[in-house]
Amino acid sequence: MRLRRPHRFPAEQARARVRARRLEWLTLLCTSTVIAAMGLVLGNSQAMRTAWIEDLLSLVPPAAVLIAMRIEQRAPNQRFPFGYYRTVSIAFLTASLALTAFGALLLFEGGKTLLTRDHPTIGTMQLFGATVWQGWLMIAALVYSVIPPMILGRLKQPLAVELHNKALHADARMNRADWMTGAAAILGVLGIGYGLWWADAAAAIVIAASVLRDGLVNLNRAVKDLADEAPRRIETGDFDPLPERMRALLEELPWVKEAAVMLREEGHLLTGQVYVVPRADGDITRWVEEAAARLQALDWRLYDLAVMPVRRLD
Amino acid sequence: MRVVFQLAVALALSLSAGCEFPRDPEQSLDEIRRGVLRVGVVDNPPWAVHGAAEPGGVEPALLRELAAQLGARIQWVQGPEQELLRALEKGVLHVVVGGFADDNPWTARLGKTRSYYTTRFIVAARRQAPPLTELARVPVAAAVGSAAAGHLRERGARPAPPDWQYRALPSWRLPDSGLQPTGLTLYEDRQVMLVTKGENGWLVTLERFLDAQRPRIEALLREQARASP
Repeated sequence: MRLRRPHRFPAEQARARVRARRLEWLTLLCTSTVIAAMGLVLGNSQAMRTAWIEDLLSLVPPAAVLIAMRIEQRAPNQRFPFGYYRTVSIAFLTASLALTAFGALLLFEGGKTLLTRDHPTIGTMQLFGATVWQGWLMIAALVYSVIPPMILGRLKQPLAVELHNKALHADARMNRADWMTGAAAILGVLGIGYGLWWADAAAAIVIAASVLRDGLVNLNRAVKDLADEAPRRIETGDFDPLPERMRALLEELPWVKEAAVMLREEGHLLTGQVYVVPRADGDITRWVEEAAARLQALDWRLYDLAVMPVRRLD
Repeated sequence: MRVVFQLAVALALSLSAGCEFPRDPEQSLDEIRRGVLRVGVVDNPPWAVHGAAEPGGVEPALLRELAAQLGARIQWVQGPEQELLRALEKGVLHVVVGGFADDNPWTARLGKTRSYYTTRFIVAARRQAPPLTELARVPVAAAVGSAAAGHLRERGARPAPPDWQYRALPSWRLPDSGLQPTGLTLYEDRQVMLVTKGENGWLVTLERFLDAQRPRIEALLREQARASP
């Protein structure tokens, strides 16, 4: 039985992968310190609780990315003849499902808090012998919580594009949007301080809505990926022009009369069928193999293309 | 980043303008400063004791001092717990006292202060009694129907008459009891006062006051217990 040859990353992407993994580990580490710091001063603010749960949830994407990056490199075998490249897509789906569910739950809780006119109670804490309003400590923790994801998100974004790793990309985007969560929660706590009890619930709703939105957007993409949508560019979300370029390349070959290309994404890879109509009979097997090699040279993400000579395209 | 900066500026301005922070959504602290502190009192000696005109006990004594500091008159409402706590929930009272512990079931609907004293219920022994290391099958005296009696039963201790050589009591009673500590603790109550939810300015004022009283609480408890044993 013939198995797929394992895909190897080009040197540049291999380096990007090492950096991406390092950044994801760093994200796990920083997020853990943020969660601990926020947990220490977590008071009765619904907004802060929501932001805290969001931070807990933001452990899921990096963990999923790290696990998926480890598994996707396994060589194809008898049980999984097509390899493990879809692992990233599955990780992406899992992470976005978690986000969606929690977003909906938090939105419901925020709405309930607002409707029941629940006034958040925040008293004082003892800090080095001084009595401090806990709200100040909560705000300090929230300010700290904003900084690491902002920096890490910016660093991860270009790597995600380079590697075409959608899970990493979603993670980077969520990190970059995290400062808004923090700012909203700070507004909520300040609102409590100003005696505006509803500000907190309102901020919680805004945060929950952003979590839900992240979840739905990513869920949508993950499902489309797994349903073999035509490849899209990761940066813009537009359809990738690569299939058209492949067709053009083939139709410039002297022996090709017509060609058609169907691609789908398998994790970061692009694979699929290529149909060619030869002008005349000849050494078709050799021609097809040469054509496949030339197509392969177009993009490092192309993998295991099946080039099939046919009499007619329709 | 600019948003954060603007927030910081707005905050600094409003704080330097001498505003209270945090403030109450329903202006409790303003009401109290302008005139009347409305206190609900649940009978629970020595913490709070219903009286003919005014309540006695440690917590009413503390609140008298706070009211004096704030220039407020106190309106006492002595009544049953459920009634007072419902009134507190609706913001009709400013604070309810009566030896509440911080794990009391009402705190889901009410605000509470940070605990300002921890009552430790211990097992004490007469001087000549043999030392205790555990409670299983040991007779220990405790008031009938008390929480201490429940904790004793849970630990396997047996009921005993009031004058028995081992007795459960709060640790602050030890100096006046003539008993020795056995080193065994039954449970702890973290004492709080209950307030209306979200009145954070008032809550912070109350907590700051209670923090300052911490060192006196035990002496006040003993004083109160001696006055009305």
